[in-house]
Amino acid sequence: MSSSVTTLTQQPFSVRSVTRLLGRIGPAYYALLILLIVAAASQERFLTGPNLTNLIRNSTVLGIVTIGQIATMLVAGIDLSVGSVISLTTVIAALQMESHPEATPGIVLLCLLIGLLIGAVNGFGVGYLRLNPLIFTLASGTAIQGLTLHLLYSPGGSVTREFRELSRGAIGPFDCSFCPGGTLGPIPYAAIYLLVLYVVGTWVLKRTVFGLAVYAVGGNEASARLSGLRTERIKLAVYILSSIFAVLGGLFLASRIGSGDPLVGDPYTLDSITAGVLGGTSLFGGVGDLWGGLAAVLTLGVLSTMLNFNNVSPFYQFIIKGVILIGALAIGYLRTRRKTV
Amino acid sequence: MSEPFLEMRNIVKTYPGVRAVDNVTLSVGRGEIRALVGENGAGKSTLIKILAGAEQADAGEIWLGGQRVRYDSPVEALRLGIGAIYQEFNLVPQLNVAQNIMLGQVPKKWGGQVDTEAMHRRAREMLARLNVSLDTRRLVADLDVAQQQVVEIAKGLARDLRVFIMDEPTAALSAVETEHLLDVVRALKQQGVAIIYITHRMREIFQIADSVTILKDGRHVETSPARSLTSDAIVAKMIGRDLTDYYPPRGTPASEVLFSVRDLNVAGKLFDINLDVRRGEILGIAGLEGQGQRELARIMFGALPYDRGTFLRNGQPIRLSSPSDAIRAGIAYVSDDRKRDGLVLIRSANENIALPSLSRRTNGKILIDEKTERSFVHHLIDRLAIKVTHRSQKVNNLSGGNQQKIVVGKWLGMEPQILIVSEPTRGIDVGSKSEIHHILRDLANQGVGIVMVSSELPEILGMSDRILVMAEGRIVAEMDGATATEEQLMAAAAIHSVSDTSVPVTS
Amino acid sequence: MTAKSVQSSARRALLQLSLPPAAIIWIAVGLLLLLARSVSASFWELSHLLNVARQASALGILAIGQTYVLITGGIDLSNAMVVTLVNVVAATLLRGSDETLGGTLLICLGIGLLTGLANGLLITRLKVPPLVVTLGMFSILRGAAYVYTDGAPRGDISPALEFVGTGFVGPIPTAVIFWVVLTALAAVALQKTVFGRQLYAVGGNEKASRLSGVPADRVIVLAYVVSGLMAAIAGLILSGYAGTGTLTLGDGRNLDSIAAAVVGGTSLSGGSGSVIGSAGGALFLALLFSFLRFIGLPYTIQLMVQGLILAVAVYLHVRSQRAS
Repeated sequence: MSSSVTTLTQQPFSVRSVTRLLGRIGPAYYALLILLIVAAASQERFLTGPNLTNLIRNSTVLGIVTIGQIATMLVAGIDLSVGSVISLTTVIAALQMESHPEATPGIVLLCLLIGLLIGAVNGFGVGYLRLNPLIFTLASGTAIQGLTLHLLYSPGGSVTREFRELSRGAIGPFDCSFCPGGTLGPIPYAAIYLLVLYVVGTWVLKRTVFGLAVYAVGGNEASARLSGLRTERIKLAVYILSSIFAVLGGLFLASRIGSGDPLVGDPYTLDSITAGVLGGTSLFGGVGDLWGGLAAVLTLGVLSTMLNFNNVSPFYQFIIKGVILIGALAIGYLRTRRKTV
Repeated sequence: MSEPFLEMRNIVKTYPGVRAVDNVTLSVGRGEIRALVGENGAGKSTLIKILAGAEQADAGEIWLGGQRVRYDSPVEALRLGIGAIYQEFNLVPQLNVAQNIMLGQVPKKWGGQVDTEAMHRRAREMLARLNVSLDTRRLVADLDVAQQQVVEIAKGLARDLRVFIMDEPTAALSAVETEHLLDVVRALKQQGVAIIYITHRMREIFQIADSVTILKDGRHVETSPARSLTSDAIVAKMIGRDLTDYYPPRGTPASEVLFSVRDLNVAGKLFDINLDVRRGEILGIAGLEGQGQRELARIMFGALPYDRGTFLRNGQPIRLSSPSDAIRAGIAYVSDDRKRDGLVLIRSANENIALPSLSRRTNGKILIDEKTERSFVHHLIDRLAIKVTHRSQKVNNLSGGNQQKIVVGKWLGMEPQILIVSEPTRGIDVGSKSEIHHILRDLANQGVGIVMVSSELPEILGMSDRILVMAEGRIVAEMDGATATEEQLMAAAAIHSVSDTSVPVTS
Repeated sequence: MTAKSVQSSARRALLQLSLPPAAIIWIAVGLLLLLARSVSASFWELSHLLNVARQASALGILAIGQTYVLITGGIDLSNAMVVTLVNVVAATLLRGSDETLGGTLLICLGIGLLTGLANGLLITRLKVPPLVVTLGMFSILRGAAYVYTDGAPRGDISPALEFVGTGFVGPIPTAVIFWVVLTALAAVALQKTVFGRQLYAVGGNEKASRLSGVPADRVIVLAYVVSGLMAAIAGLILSGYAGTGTLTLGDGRNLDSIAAAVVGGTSLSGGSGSVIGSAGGALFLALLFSFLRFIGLPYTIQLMVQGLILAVAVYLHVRSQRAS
């Protein structure tokens, strides 16, 4: 008791510092928090292990793809090809694993190589030829969609049994004295993938010289170039990463649905942009981080779970998603405006 | 002169339609400070961009320390020790001061990590050399213009350059900051750095430069020791003619008040501003950079909000809450930033000139009458002697002086009674400068009331009928333009300043 | 002389001509027609060409609105879902008869108008980036279409609308007449009116335009309203062609309309572009697909070619801009 008083006197409580702190928290976190409270309060089933596991598994593909999308947004770009890359990955994985089940690791590697190639093309066009990223990745995405449909016109193929485990498996349960029932888990692999990718991704963006370069290129490209950064190469790397993350998302999706689907990746393009924007990443580059994106991905996931629970037509999802997206940025504007005037 | 360390030989650079640099040869020795002067469009910027690797020459060679060097990017130039700080800042607003200073050579730890501690330490060292204390953790977006300029200079210092190019580094600095910078430049000279220093300020040339190279129309005119030149001689060679009638003669303003500001206040920015603009006068608003002049000009045009105050037009109160209100009241505004505020660069001269008066001239009709518009635009182009190949020429292909004339021209088209101009000749060549001055005086003689905000003292003294001096958001003195002196102005501008640092050291 | 010097002098000549982008796309249309003719004379038949034009008309009308928006420096992704919503609403309300035609048309145009108005106001008043606003609106309209139909659209389009979508006036498809008239009106508005001038100015430099007294917000809102209305008209024409309500009618048309505008020389950075060029872009894409189908290439290859064409177009456009 007395120690807490001394800390208070050492760091005088001020309303201003608290509001400043609250102001720094992105809208995605508020949305997630509010939704979680509402969900937990309105549905006792919500905070159960199976439901949370399901929520995480349903959010994993978007969570992974969003990392790459945020990276492109940070360099003031955008990647409209991720959806097609996801579809292509599921198709290649399913078709190849069906015919060569023994070569699963090789097939995974093949998918990653294809991702590398696509990312290199995007990065070359945007970075070296300085083409508008929106149009260029739209073009490459269209071409990849054509190729995917050429390979497989309607859903088919199948992945191997072991490969399915990648998305469906879990580890645990663990002993945990704080947890209700004394155990934690089991923890789905999906949660671990997300955690590892976001931790590593954040480390790269926030701690490394490459990450600093990404923010610099997005913040002021001319300046970054004149400061001696190889901006083309940095963009190339970012677009390669974006495609690689799309492939990783596609592999997870293939594992989850167990087959290939030439159109399954479609919604992820716009959803990943939605998640990035909702998570506080600027479309104009240089501002944003991954954790906001993850909060946004989970927000969208909780939202659809809640609608399911409450027997609301799933179609309302679309409307709510649109309103949240516009609303998040509108709130951001209203807040900054009050500050400046 | 010392033996050449850096040599640029027979450099040629052509853009579509313009030979920007035409066979220029330039050599600078170690520890030599070379001033590079010329009108805008003389080829200075292109030349230094080629030297810094930001542009590639069509022909010519660059030699460094007796060896021919080839590079085609800023990265490679920096690796050779050739670097530049540019007039338009090259900072990343979203990054902090240290990250900006060290950008491109960030100290590393294991795994490609940024060594944050070393980065801030080194950045602080560079700022200390400039005698500036600035928190290296602050975001550049939160800095003011002078602080940004300091960061830009520190960034150059951090690179241990052998050839250091500075493009108007003092444009945004106060007198004291300028002195510090000049000290640093002298220190760099002692360390044997070859320095190329671009400036429009004659005083600085004679303060630090060893030698002066004059460019005109992309060609080399002359390189001479600075002590063998006078500022009149430099100006004459830059423009190729004498500028005896540099400032037009003053007129005879009427006593009739066209426009008044009463008790204008903006929290923290402007305090109790009262002023009258009379028919036919040029009212100069002087002061050190950033004392609220710019804000005052924008508020008078309805382009910035204010807390309290009234505006009177011919004695009647008017509302000024948007530029449209101001335009309706016959007020026009030439901004200090023509590229951002004044012009639609990718559109034609015609469209730019016609823009503000468009709705008025069409008078509610849906279609634009092209014939009357054509003669209207031609008339203005002739009147202001704007050099365009055709009125449909895009504005971004024009020189700074011609661009500024288009900004003035588009406002003349609506026949304003009050013209507010902010830094009307910033960054334009001496010839165009004089033309703009004559245009302003002509307008005043025709009865327009002109408010001229300028941080260039000679311009204020040469042009104004009456001068108001601003300091820290207040009008601190009023002077007669014909009799005021530079010393009086500087004293008035500085005396009310709280901080000692802005007391001018030189005059 | 060597081939190289001939090539370079040809290039210089081309540069000196400095054709406007809108002219280049129409030359490309002409070249494509010549190529098609050399492959097969039947491609050249008027009825076939008019059919291609009919296929291009909805895209062309969408591209008009998209061009207006792109000139402001914005983008409209929501137009695709205006098409879908208009389609399911029209089918539900009409139920195959012309009885309620007037009211239905009003409601459908109202959907387009309100969508554009909402987009424009959110962009100008709340300063939300256009990409985000119209992406959000896309999602909202899709939700509206699904909720309205409960995922199962019913009803049919009426004879009058079918005439608009599939009918002919003389030899000319009705849809093409709509397209040509709307393009002509939009072109005149862009080149000859105060609004058009202000649109280019706002897109080129919004701040400078405001400081010149241009009512920039009003201009931007109007551009989105035009786009919404064009999307509603395109939705009605496409409905007439489809005959029923379907929840996928608009899919991909937002990106197609951007492609048509960009292929036609409109810049994504605002301040330049023309509806004549966009019309050429729409026609070019339709001709190309028709040609590819004609020579027996499957839809999947067409998609790949579309991607390629788009990439090449934006590359050429960027190069010509840098040259000037």
